[in-house]
Amino acid sequence: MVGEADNPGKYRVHMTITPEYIRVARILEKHDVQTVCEQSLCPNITQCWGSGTATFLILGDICTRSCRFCYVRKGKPLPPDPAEPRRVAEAAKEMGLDYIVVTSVTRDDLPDGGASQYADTILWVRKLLPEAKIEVLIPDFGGNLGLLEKVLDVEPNVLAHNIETVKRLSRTVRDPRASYERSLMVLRYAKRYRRNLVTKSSLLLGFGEEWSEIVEAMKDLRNAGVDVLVVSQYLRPSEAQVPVRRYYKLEEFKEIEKLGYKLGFKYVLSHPLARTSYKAREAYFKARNPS
Amino acid sequence: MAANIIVPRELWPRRSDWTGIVVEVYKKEGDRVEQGDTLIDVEIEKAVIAIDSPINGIVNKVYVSKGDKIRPDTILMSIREE
Repeated sequence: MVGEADNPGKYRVHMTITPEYIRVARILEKHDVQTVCEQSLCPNITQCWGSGTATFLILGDICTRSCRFCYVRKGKPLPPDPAEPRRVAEAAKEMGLDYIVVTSVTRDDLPDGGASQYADTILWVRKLLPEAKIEVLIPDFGGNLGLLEKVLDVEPNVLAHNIETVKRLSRTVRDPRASYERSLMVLRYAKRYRRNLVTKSSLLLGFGEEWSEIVEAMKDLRNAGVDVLVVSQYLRPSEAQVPVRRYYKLEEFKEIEKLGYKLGFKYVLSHPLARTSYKAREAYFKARNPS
Repeated sequence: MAANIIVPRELWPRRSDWTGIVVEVYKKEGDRVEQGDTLIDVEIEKAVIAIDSPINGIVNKVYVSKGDKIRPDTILMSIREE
């Protein structure tokens, strides 16, 4: 993990542009595919791209929601590009990936919320990389379970959906169209719909939550059948987003990790700089074969 | 030959609208640097980014100082390669 994370405050990261990083950047540019690594100014970018991996962002780079912690551009997105799923698969193939993570902006403007673009992307990846595992980090599709099924029916290996924050702060931190209960419902339904699916969710800390509220959110996620829990520090991307109310110490993240395992999660990634897709491949295999 | 050390445009290549503030300058003119030595710390909202030297050499010129606003492509230093 990069950074001097035991320093409670901003983390210091060495961002070295390596030949492998440049290789990944060129492939992404060549295939004209977006990544959340760039759109969120992720501080792990040099580490991930430098090790040959990236998290694809489909359905454009403009989000219809205005979550107050997120750096992705907001506004009116362009119509989905029908060639995008194929380009993602081609880029993944050229990168030599055997584990592909795909996420998207939220598309409340589309009748299907972008579900068919997810499904097409999974199918294209399966076609070009039949052995690869696929993880999707999906929006809530407005709570429409039929749309969720559309994604589940093409059998991703991992379905991630982020709860982002504790129950009390969900309304103020996330877009009003998102909700704590709906996110839990999406995760619960996905797990019931396909029992062999690995489900995953992330919680960001630093918005002003109480410790008891963190524990409550973890219990709620576990009760929804979530297998993989990611807990990390909220880092404000720019002055336009909500401020960081608190930087948590590394020991506190370790305590959360222990509690997560005690609650029954199959894999817990609890670190200030962890992100939902960080070391996703490792998380998947550990969740499949817990030690 | 002197090489310019610039804020890499390749960082978040398609989000090059970010800016940062120089919070530490570790090397001055005439200092010897080794590849991997941190030259400058830049603070952005999410983190402090350590900009490391890609080469061995002697610092020829420092173009920025603490408190300066920088963005991708800002020239930070020039280093005479050895």
